[in-house]
Amino acid sequence: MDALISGQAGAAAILGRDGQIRRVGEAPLPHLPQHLLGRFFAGSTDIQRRAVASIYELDAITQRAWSSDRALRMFLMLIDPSEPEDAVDEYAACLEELLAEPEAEVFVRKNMYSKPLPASVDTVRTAAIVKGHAKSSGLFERLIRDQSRIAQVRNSFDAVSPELLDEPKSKSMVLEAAIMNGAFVDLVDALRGNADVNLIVLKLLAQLRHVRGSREVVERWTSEMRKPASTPTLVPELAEESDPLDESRFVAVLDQALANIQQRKRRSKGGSSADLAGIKREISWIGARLKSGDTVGAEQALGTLIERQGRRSRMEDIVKTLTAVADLARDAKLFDFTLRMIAGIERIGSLDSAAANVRAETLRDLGRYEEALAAFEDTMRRYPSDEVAPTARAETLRELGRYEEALAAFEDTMRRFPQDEVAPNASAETLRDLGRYQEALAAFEDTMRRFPQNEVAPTARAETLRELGRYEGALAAFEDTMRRFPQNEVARNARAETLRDLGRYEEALAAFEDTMRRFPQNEVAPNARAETLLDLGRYEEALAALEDTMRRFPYDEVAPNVYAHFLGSRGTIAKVEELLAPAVARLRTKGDWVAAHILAMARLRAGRVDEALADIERGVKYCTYREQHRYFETARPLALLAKRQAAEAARQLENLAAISSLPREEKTNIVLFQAHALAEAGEFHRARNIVESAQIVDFAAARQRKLAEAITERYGLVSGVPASAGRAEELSGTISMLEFDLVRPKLWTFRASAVRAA
Amino acid sequence: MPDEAAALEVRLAVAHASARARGVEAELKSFSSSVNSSKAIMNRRLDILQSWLNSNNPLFITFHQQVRSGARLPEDTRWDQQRTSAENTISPNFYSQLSLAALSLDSLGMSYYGPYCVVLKNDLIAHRASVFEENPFEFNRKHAIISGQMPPAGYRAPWIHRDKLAVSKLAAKVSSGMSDSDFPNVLIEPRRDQWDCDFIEVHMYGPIHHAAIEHVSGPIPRARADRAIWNQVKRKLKDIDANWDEY
Repeated sequence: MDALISGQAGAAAILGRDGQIRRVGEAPLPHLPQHLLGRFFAGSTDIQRRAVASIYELDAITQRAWSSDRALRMFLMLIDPSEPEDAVDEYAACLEELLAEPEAEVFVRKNMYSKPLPASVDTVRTAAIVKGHAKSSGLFERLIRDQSRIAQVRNSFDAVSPELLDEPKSKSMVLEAAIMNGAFVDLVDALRGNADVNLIVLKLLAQLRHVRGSREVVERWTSEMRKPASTPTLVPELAEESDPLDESRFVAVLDQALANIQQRKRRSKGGSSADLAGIKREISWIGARLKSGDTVGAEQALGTLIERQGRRSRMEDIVKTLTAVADLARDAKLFDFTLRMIAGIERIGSLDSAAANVRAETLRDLGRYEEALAAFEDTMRRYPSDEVAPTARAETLRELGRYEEALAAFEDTMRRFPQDEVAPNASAETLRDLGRYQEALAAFEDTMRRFPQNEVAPTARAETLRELGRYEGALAAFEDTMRRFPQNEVARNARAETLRDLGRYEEALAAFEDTMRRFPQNEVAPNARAETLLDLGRYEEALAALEDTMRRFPYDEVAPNVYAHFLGSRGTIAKVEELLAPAVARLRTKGDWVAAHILAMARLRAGRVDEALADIERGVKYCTYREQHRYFETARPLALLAKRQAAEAARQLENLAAISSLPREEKTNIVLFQAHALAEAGEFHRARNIVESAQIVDFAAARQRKLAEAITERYGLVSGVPASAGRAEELSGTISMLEFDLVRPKLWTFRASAVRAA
Repeated sequence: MPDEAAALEVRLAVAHASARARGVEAELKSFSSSVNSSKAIMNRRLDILQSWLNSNNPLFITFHQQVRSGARLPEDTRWDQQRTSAENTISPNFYSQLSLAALSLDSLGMSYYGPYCVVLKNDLIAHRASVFEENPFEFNRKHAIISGQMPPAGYRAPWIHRDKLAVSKLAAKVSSGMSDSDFPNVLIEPRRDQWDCDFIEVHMYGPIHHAAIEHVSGPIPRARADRAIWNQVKRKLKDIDANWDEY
């Protein structure tokens, strides 16, 4: 459904005959004719038209928009020197409540970073008022600290002559768009050394492309801030975020906390377990900040928390806090942040097994497998009773494709720690990787008997059924798991995905939406829902949903990749390059390499074959993630095919097809690509044999069948008569499109993670 | 405007003749006299009201889009075309410069457009206000006017002659025995919270400064942040010598 949403109005209007007005915190109003909506929303400058899937989604968007608007109002009222003393405490309390919504803080920053504060603002008074409010004080302190940079960015903007533009109003429109797109915040961040100004300018140009005169203004505005173009660094060394100010502050906070602890001989009464719930809440809030991409806010809150703990808690409690935050940062894929936390723990001199495991897991996440293995082994030596390191080491072996070693390591762990629930599941997953499905099913069932409260085993068992094509059994198993474990998010998503496998798209959509309602922080459901919309050809809705996900989860790697893949399939290469530029410039995580792969394939599809081949070769050479690496290897022959080097392509595909541990659907793809290459090379007989023998199964079956049919007809593999010139051209387009789709790496997995949080 | 005035006089004469025939001439005269003291009431949401009262606050001017934004971003306004087309037909070339209100004999306006009823000071708007029969969209529909056509004359009047328009439009609703207390619900239908409630529109040229506010009435908001805003609004109203009441 389509709706108009305004945070200022705190209301949304569902368009259409059966529409209604939905208001934040109020009962809905019945239908209002469209000709009166303009009057209902009169005065709102933030109206957005959105396609939404459900009332739930609409209400959530409206609530967030309202919170953002009200948070800004509260902030302005709070810093207004004309506001009476007896009112401002209430403003601070309201602001703190509103900032619980991460989007609200981002919104306040976007606006407050657009111009330096007037001199009349009493910063001492405001700092005192917000002192007891962690989020508000963090926001305010940061704003004050950035005033000189804000002034620099704004002065540069003001220096742009309006005479550059055709219309007098253009500059103010560019200003408005720049503020609402967060350009001032980004540029201030860049001046602090936290971001690449050139990428920010590229992003800004793209965001403002519909605003007349934006290119002229942006180029002139940022001319002195931009750096000479530089080549993206491949697999950069682990580097801490270049923010010396914050780095030194973080260290100072830690040192002060340690000094305070040393001064106290024993733990004060204030450090009792009554604080634990508050600390957990604070850590959880920091996690939400990290997930929303706000490292600044997270760091501020962490600094406040550490300061407090320094006065009241023990040293090991601070280590636990830093470990928990490090793990949350890792979960948000903010690896530099994680490593800073680990460095902080090392500074305290108390790296326990949990912290050591987070560090090793981070190395693994970064594809530095050998270092990760060494780190896990070191932890196993230093902490022989730790159960996590041996399991995580075995999982690292599994990721490296060293399955037999992994199985042996899991068995060893199970012997040493018979009560460990993670190792049996991970071991069963490895059996599944090896295609030993019956053994995997039996192992999961054994774990379910031994650990009835373990929710990973039933979910993973259901997924194994799904992988075997036993969809009805899988659905029943997922539903049973959902009944027994209502908080299990994986089972819900995997069930919905199974419905999608079965072509029951509407049910799948409803299921994803239900998950989004129950688990608003779940990132998988909105992406999977968008993919389902793409399946249904509801492209506009899908793209709008992906854009929403990108806004809500700025560090989510999947949504931009899905978005880019779709655009790539439509040949919109410029937008794909713009979207994937940050990931391709980083090339650190799996998601970054997936992005690089999608970009390469989009270039190939756009006919930029040499560029595509160079991208692919880079992946083959540098990508350390095994699965992603294999996708580059699979893509290379397709690029060679495009370069008319069919024989070499066929040879490479033959080698790939010989890998015994390939997942079944991937093997089928490779075999089909091989048939294509052979046919192109004139080896029709071999090509026909391959097509006929290809096992076309699992979720991609429809596309695989289509590809087999297209290759068969294009080269006349059965009839012996190749297609006519016109038809051949048409079929070549179809083949290219299907290969583009099939060679795409998996963007996410529904597998129940056997990894245990450290 | 001579055509408009003449056409309105014709409608007025018909209304009086009808009243005479129905024996309600005295009541109609009372109604006309009441309307001479009617007010323009703008209904506003709390956010608009706050921004309005902060329109000379340097912080709001700089940092809040609602006050700052002289330049609207390009946006999809297809959903609003019916309204703008209707208003452009009635007030060609200047409809976007108009501020709208309802003509009222009590302190209540059309709550569908916002729960806060803002009564405006007559002397600050009289020189740039006129009254129009009803919502332009409804008017065009009833009179089968399509975009580009001229609307019929006699359905608008300058502020000082708002009684003439009210009598012309509403004479049939004035009945025997009616007194001053009945007239508010004649001028605006009593179901103020319904979108199709009928009323006479006040069209004021140009923006309205908050100094024109005489009185505001509205609900105490449920949300904590909105209560804080309402409390600020009340203080600002006091600063400009305006009254308020809440429920």
